[in-house]
Amino acid sequence: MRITLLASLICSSLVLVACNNADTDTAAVTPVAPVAPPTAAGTKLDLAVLQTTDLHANVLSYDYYKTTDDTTLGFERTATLIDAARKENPNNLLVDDGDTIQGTSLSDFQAQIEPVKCDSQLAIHKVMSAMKYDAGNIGNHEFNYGLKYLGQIAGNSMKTGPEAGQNCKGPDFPLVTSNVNNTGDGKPLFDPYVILDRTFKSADGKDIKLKVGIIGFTPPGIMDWDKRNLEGKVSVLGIVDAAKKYVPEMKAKGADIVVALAHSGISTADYSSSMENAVYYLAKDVPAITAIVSGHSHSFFPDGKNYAGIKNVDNVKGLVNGVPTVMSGFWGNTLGVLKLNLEFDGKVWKTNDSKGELKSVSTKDAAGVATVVPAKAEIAKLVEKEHQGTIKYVNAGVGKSEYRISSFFTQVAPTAAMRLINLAQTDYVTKFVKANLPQYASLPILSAAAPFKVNFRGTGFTDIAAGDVAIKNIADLYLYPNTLQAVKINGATVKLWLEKSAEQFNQIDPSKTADQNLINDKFPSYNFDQIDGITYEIDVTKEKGSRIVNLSLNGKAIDLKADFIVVTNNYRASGGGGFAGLDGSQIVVDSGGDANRDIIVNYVKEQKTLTLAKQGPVANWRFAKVKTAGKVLFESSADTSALSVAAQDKISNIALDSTKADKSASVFSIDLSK
Amino acid sequence: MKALSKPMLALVAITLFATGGIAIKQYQHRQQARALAIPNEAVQQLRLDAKNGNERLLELAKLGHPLAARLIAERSDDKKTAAQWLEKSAEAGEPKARYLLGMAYLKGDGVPQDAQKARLWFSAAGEMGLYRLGMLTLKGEGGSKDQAKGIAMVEAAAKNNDAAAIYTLGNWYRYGDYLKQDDQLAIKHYKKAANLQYIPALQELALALEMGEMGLDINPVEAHKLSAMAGHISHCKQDHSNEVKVFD
Repeated sequence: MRITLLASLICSSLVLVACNNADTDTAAVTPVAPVAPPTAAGTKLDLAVLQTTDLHANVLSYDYYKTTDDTTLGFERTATLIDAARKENPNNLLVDDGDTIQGTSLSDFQAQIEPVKCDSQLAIHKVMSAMKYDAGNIGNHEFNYGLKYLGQIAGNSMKTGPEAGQNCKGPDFPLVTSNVNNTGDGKPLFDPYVILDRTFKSADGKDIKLKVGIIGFTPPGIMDWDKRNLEGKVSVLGIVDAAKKYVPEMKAKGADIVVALAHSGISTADYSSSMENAVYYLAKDVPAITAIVSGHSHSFFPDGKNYAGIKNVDNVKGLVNGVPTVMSGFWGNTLGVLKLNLEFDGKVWKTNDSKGELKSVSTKDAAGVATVVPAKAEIAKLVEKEHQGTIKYVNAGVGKSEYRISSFFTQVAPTAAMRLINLAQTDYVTKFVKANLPQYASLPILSAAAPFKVNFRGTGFTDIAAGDVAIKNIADLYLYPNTLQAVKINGATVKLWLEKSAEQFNQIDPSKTADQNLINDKFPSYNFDQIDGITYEIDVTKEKGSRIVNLSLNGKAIDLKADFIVVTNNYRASGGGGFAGLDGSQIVVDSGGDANRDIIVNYVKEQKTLTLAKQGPVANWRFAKVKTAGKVLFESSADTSALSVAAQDKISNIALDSTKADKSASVFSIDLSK
Repeated sequence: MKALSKPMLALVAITLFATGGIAIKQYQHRQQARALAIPNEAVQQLRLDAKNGNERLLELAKLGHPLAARLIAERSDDKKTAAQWLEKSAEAGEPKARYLLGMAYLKGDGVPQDAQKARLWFSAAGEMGLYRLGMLTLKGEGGSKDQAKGIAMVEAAAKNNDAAAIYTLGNWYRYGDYLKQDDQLAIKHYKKAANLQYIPALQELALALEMGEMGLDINPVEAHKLSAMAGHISHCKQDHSNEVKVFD
């Protein structure tokens, strides 16, 4: 008896210490009765852990590159699901599993363009605070903008290291992680865990005070992925190693239940301290964890599909080695609800039963009809200023152009539009080779670009008027979020590349008097690569595979055995489009995630003003001259000024033939003899 | 005291030198044995220690620890240095180092380009090197050409869940290269590779859904979703190769 009393005394004093250290939010606690009656053995409690993960700053259901709504994601819709889940589960905790602050133009805007002020909350933290989160974890992407920024926007949650103590406004809830230490004094950068005092209603309607321990885990890979930001500044512990250190401490400090926020997925590969997806072992090797909130993998658990057939993993109920676990997708597309049925056995709270559920913001019925969860209106209001600021940023000019940049004729001639992409790509790789790959300094650098937006089924063209060139315009010209890569290939492979591209054209019979369509509309325009840095002709009278003629470099026929560097994107370099000789093993320049469109943005910024003299099209390819008996036709824009674009781009062999009655397109003729 | 004769002096010097040499060698052997006895898990732990981890890793790599040598190679910004460490690690039997060294020889990263050596290291790397070995065999690069054998190797690699191999089979079915053209089988393989979060497969399906290729219905919402996923993974440095069943 004396021992028990002493133990409880020690425990309660430890709890106080923990609560003082930890920035716990006790606002939700109901007024304490003078003497709380002890919880009776057999008391049951239903508690739901509501989870978001990998929000990646998707506050609104919005695509900033297209400046259009995207209702498949966004916290404004997850918030509606949170409200509904709270109604259904009056005893609940709301937690976030990290990768929260980075990932959209909004986050770039707040970190780099118009940095969020010290006295303001970050947009994503603002809306999460409004939804009254209980705690959040630190993922890997939290480190992307550097430690100083993290120290600012995390507010008082960052506890140690030179970037702590900026006294800026963080979220209204504590951020935790147990396995990242600062190298200075070796102490944890954040609170490893918090113990929150919460009051819930038992199944028989009594108030139950519960000490909820919440511990966080960051993927150890940050040491490699954010080396630049972290080298020499922080050290990391393995996820299970940190859990073994702190979970017993939490229990000793009186945590009735322990919820682990692991920014980590589920894998049965052998455990090592650097293991990225360590939830399987967290569940297996660390006793006393009540529930695990998993993430990082952008996956779903339990959904009956993912993580099937793994020993001791129940992907319907949501159990990993017997521990209730949930992982709720990414970008706010899903809310995880982990329902726990707890019972007090007189000494400790045990889990009788559990069920993990996933609630999606957009669902499809059996017929494929989509239903979208409505947005919670208050969310958009809270971040209106930040949202508008970001839209203004993507719409604002990063430079000027003296000429019109249009994709109207990108399928039939060299144009200013393709030239801009190729110039930016060539510039990037020229600098890269000079700095990093001196062994390739003597190789010619070529660049490939394809038209992405050429009115496929009426989706329009890229058409940027002379004047300001905005990020949004460049994202329209370079439609896909590809990343830049360059390959080293020989002249023969360059020729094969162009042959494949030239399959865009139908084979033209010069003797035919009937109209012939130049372009094979089954051939996707994104595979019509045009290569800068060499000159060539396409003979469309020939069969596929033998159309490229007069392929030259600096006026001389290219040496098919000589090597070239060709700049392209990660799709093509890995074999996309089935181009012969490209299978990923030729990549010699990997931008490490720099998007082609961002590279174009930076190029325009650097150039300040694009001029026809410097950036205008160069006639480096053309059709091999042939006189045709009949007309050769192709479709393009019905814009009445389309031909002035052709004139600007010095395309002199096309003429308007007719315009469709519905004005959806015009038909042009092309004189292949010119 | 009578001075030692010159030959005697030389003998003493040689003896001292030899025993000293033996002692140093013995010491080095002991050091090396101690280094090699360090389990991989402890070596992995060193990656996480910003203070002394790198130094210690380098020390172990110098003493011939295969994993330490590979980790140092992967951390090295200089391709030549990286290749030297890979060589050390690969010689000592580290399978991933063998695969990476094969890739270095294939591309000429930090070593002179040599497809023959690439083949050797891919075959030494076991399962990990199977896809690349298959591609080289198929094309007859770095050794004899055997199309049937190459195809069989790529198919075997695909069965082992090598995403690049699965994607390549998708391309072959789509374009009728090496295999009979079959859009349905192409889609099946692309989906399988996309579930392994293989970027080009996600991009391929995104484009196909945007344009209605391979007999797929046009679905701009799904296309955008897949394209955005591919975009995120290409920007992101973390390992996105675990299976996420985007497709059933």
